[in-house]
Order: sequence, then structure tokens, then C-alpha cells
Amino acid sequence: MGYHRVNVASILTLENISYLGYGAIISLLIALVAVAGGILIGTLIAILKLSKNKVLRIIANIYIEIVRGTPMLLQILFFYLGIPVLYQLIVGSPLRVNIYVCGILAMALNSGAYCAELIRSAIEGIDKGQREAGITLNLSEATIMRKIILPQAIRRIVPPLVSEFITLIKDSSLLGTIGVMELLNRAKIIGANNYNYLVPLVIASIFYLVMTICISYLAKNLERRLAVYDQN
Amino acid sequence: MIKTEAICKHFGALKALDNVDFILNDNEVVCIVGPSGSGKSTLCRALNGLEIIDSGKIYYDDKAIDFRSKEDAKAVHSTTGFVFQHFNLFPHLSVLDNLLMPYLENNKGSKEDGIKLAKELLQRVGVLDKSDNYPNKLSGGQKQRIAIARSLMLRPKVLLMDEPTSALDPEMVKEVLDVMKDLAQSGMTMCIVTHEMNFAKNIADRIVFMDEGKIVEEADPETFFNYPKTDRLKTFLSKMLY
Ligand SMILES: Nc1ncnc2c1ncn2[C@@H]1O[C@H](COP(=O)(O)OP(=O)(O)OP(=O)(O)O)[C@@H](O)[C@H]1O
Ligand SMILES: [Mg+2]
Repeated sequence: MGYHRVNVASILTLENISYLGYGAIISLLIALVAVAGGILIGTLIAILKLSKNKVLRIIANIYIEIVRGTPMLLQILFFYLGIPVLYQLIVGSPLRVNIYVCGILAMALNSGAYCAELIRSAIEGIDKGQREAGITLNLSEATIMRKIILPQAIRRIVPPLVSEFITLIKDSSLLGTIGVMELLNRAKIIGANNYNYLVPLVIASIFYLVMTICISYLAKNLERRLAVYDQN
Repeated sequence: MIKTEAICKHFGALKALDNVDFILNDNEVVCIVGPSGSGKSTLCRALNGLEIIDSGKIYYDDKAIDFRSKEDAKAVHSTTGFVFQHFNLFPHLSVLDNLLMPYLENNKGSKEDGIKLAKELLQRVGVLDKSDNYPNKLSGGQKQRIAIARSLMLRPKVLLMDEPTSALDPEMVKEVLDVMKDLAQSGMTMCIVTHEMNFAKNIADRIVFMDEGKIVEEADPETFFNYPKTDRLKTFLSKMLY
């Protein structure tokens, strides 16, 4: 048997492109849910890290170290393949896991560690004079946080959170490993069916780039609006 | 009235305050002067609990205050204003909101009353026209005058100021000193850490000289400048007046 002729036109069908477009939407949604979960978890971990209680700080540090010191793919596989075994060992009955729940959970927990560091450093980056001014104006710690520190920290957090979101869009491709039909997985399937990976991979790249560039652009606008006080 | 008895404050091995007995009487203006690192800021901040003292006692109107107690701290912070060298305005709030937010959070009155008071105070320090601006685009002098106005929003009985003009360009020092003078003449009780010797001479009821964490000498301005007793003050004065 000889080699297949490369036939671009037969791959560039509306059907294939919309199949990939669907994958892009799935990747985007996965990243969106994961980053939302990550912000939630990250806020909790950041609160632990900033607390005066040493034990809480240590717990937060251990969490962050584990997440940052191991590959995300391993974490995903741990949830998909490891947790069911653990469950069976403890409970006795088998556990059926949903790949989407598993994958998104793993990504959210991963993102939580990174978000925690972003949030913590944004809060700690606020000049300590701001807090002192609040104290001398007889504001409670909670009010200082709510009215002075957080409004300023949030403005600083937006840019790194957007990069985190973009990272998650790209990392969602790792979920293909456990069978999630996201963008890259679909590109591989089309490639396999047509004996041609080049075209679907290029199209997938374009989808990724459109998503990431649009998000960067929207984020720039958001930043500008949040930073109104810097220009006035 | 504020009084300290033998207060000490260490930073590691360094003794920033060494058995300081300080008094600030009602309606009195006291200036604290001294070389860099002598503990002036530490004393001023300790009076307001921004530094927690290691030993000694602080009294407000004869009531001993422990700043680690929330209640004591609140009692002081609701009646004592503080002005920082670097202003510490809230950059995310407009000038008006910088004044209004603490007023409302302290339940001092209605929003209308707060706005009225804020505008009165901004008028008094000469920056009423900047009410709707954000702090970042204002000059240092304007910022400090706004910070002073903000410190008056809770109608404090005492004003503590830590080098309020030291971060300003020279041409803006006067506009801030004028505001301080106006306050002093209105009978406000003030404790001012400053390097402005002429201002101290003209405005202070008493000048306190600190060195190496101790109060070395204190006197009324006339005596302070013309009849310094210790060598340390003599040396300091000869350096300050060229
Ligand atoms: N937070 C801190 N940590 C460690 N050392 C400190 C701290 N704050 C002040 N010090 C030290 O304590 C001493 C007294 O400092 P302080 O700021 O009270 O001096 P100062 O008289 O206000 O000086 P300056 O005129 O430079 O403002 C200095 O040696 C200073 O380095
Ligand atoms: Mg100082």
C-alpha cells in the first residue's frame, strides 16, 4: 500500500469545523468553571495563608506545594484513576466517576493553589499605610478589608487571573487523556479518521488563538475601566 | 490629655523608645524634633497604637489604654486623628469619598450631614474644588491637606502628625503648614513630629527634643532655641540652623 494523498478540501468540511468549534466551546466552558472554582478555592486558601493561626498557614502551604510540585496531568489522572481505587478500599463498593466532574474538579483544585498565591500577593502588595490609615480612622479589620484593601487588590488581581484563565483553556486539553471531548481531542479524532493531523491541528490552533486573544482583549478593556482612579 | 509613663519599644535589639515620659495637655501644641532614628515616629505612632509598646503605660484623660484591647483602641481611634508623612489617602475613592467613608462607617451621621461636613473641611483646607477627583492626580500639598481634612471627619479632640510636610516638594510645604497653623490657632490639641524648626518656633507651646529613644530636653520655644541646656540639643540646633 502506498501513501494517502493529502486532501485538504475533504477535511475542511462544515461538519468537521463545527465539530471542532463545539470542542472549543467545551474547552472554554471547562476553563470557565475551573477558574471560577479556582478563585473560590484560592480565596479560601489565601485566607488561611494570611491568617494568624500557624496551623492554618501550614495547611495552606502544604496544599500549595503539592499542587505546584506535581504535574497537572498526574492530578487529573489521580482523580480519574486514583480516587476510585481509594474509594473502593475505604467504602468497599466501586465508584463510578464522571470524566467531566473529575476533570473539572482536578483543574479547579489545581487552579485554586495558583489563585491563592495571586490573591495573597495582591492583598499583601497593598501599601501597609492603607491599613494604618483605616485603623486611625477607627475602622474595624473587616471594614478595612472590605472597603480599602480588597477594592484595590481586585484591580491588581484581574491581569494575573486572566492569564490563569488562558492557561486553563490550554490545560483543558489534558482532559482529552481521560476521554473528555474537548478541542484537541476532537482534532486528533478528525486527524485519525482522515489520516491527516496537520489540518485539524492547525484549525484547533486557530480556535485556541481566537479564544485567548479575545479574552486578552476583553481583559485589557476591563482593566482600563477598573483603573479609572489611576488616570483621573 | 495624653500621658505616657516610662514607655519602651524595641525593634529586635534596638531600643526605639527608652523609658519615655511624655505629656500632651488639652489645647496644647507640642512639636517633637530630633535627629533621624531618634524614635519620634515610634513615639507618635505608639500614642495611637500603631506601635504596641513593650512596657510602660499610656493614659488618655487619666484612663490607662491597652491598645491590644479592641475596646480601648476604638475609644482612642474615635477621638484621635492621625496624619501620615505619606498621606495614605485611599486611591480607589474620590476625595469626597475618602472623607465620607470613615464618617459613615463610624455611624457619625447621615450621608447628607457627612457630605456637608466633608465639604466644610475641604473648604477649610482649600481643596473643595477637588472633591470629585481621585487622589492620584493631585499634588502632594493637596493630598496632605485632604488627608488632614479626612483626619478631622470624626471630629477628633487630638491630632497626631508624623512629619506631615517631609514628603512634600519645598514649594508645597507652606500651604500645609498654613492649614496646621490654622488648626493650632483654633485650639486643636496637636502633637507634631517635624523638621520645620521655624514652624515649631512660631506655633508650638512646647518643643520636645528626642535622641536615641529618649526625651532629652523639652521647653517652650523661646527657651528651647535660645537657652538649650544639653550638649546634644546644642549640637542638634547648630546642625539644623545651618
Ligand atoms: N518597624 C520597624 N522595624 C525595625 N526597626 C524600626 C521600625 N521602625 C523604626 N525602627 C527603628 O527604630 C528607630 C527609631 O525609628 P523612628 O522611625 O521612630 O525614628 P524617627 O525619629 O522618626 O526618624 P526619622 O526622622 O528618620 O523619621 C530607628 O533606628 C529605626 O530604624
Ligand atoms: Mg520618623
